[in-house]
Amino acid sequence: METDSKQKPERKPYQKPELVEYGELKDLTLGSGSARRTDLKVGSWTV
Amino acid sequence: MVNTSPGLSILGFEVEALQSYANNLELSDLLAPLMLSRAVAENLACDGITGALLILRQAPRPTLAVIGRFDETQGAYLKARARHLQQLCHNLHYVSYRQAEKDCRVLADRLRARLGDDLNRFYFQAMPRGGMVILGLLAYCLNLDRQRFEPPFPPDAPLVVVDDCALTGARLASFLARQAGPRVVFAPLYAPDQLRDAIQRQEKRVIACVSAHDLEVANDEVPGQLETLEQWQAHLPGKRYWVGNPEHVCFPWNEPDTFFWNAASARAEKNWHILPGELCLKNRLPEQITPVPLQIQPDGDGLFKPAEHVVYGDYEGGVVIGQLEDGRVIGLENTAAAMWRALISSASIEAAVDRLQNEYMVDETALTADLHDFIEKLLGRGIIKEN
Repeated sequence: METDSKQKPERKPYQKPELVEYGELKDLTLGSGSARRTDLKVGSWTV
Repeated sequence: MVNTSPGLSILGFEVEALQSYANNLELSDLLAPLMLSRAVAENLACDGITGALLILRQAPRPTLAVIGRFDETQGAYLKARARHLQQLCHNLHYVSYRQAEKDCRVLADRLRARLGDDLNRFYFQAMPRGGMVILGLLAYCLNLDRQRFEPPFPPDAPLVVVDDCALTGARLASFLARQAGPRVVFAPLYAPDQLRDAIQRQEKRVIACVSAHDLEVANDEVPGQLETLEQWQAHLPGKRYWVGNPEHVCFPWNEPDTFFWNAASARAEKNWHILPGELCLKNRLPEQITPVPLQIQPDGDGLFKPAEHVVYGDYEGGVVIGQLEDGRVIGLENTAAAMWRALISSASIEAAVDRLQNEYMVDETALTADLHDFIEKLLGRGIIKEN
């Protein structure tokens, strides 16, 4: 007897959809624009 | 301590920094953020940051975010490098192969002008590895015989030491410490004028420092909370003739390592590189290291699309959404994640319901009601908008 290879995958249990609060987003770019080259120093032991 | 919920942090991009990156590398507005994001993905993998996912949103303005469960140390690591990422892009001075060839002609002319007929008595030594590329080109420009750059050289032979760039002179200092006697002309293709002056003041054996181009130095500011550049120098290993803040010169074969002062760890730490391996030979990942996954955020061609201030990624089977406007991170798990995906890719509510019914054991009436309720919540929080 042939098996149906296109058989639908088993359906999953359903839950009511929720929006979960994960916390606060962090913007790590803040302060970088105005600082530009400040803080940036160069070392060259692979140059 | 590791957070239980995934966090979402914005790593880039500052508009001017990205523009400088695109202009330097002659990349389109779409390709520049992609290349920079790939570089970040490689850096994270090299530094052993596991379980991270990068999200690149191209429009309305390119934004790079990272999702993951990071402890305090990893959070500080990301923060410091994200800040310097923008600065390195501002500072970038990219030299293409074609430009390097032109520069070698200039360097050859300057060596001839500086040394005259005396140049014929010099032998040529390359600083591995970038200097070898330059010496190869310079040998053609100066029409050098092979024995002039093929060691061993005669004892006490005067040397022209060639490099692609010099930023602090650490490599020259290390070379001179191993080399007794000879007169040396130092010829980095690119170097700050201040460094060349410092070398000539401090090294009697160096009779001349010649470059094709000066590297611009931004300022004399001291990194982090250190008080003087001398303090900064003391934190770096090896001898240096000068420390400062020159342009971030890069080549198709080399991106120099850069360092910053981390006040929290009280040490000099290595920055990320900003050129991905496909744009810089030195930065190619070893085969055993796989870059951190990078998702390109789809615009959303369904009935709804993510709002302009939203960054989101598929993470651990769920969806993590960052709202740039109110700074909240929202998680959608299980059915909610599937609903999100159905909403932003289905052309109608009916199509979304059909798709979800194929996936979940639920009757159509309850599902449709929940979906409408879910849409209202997302619209109410400004997370989605109608296409």
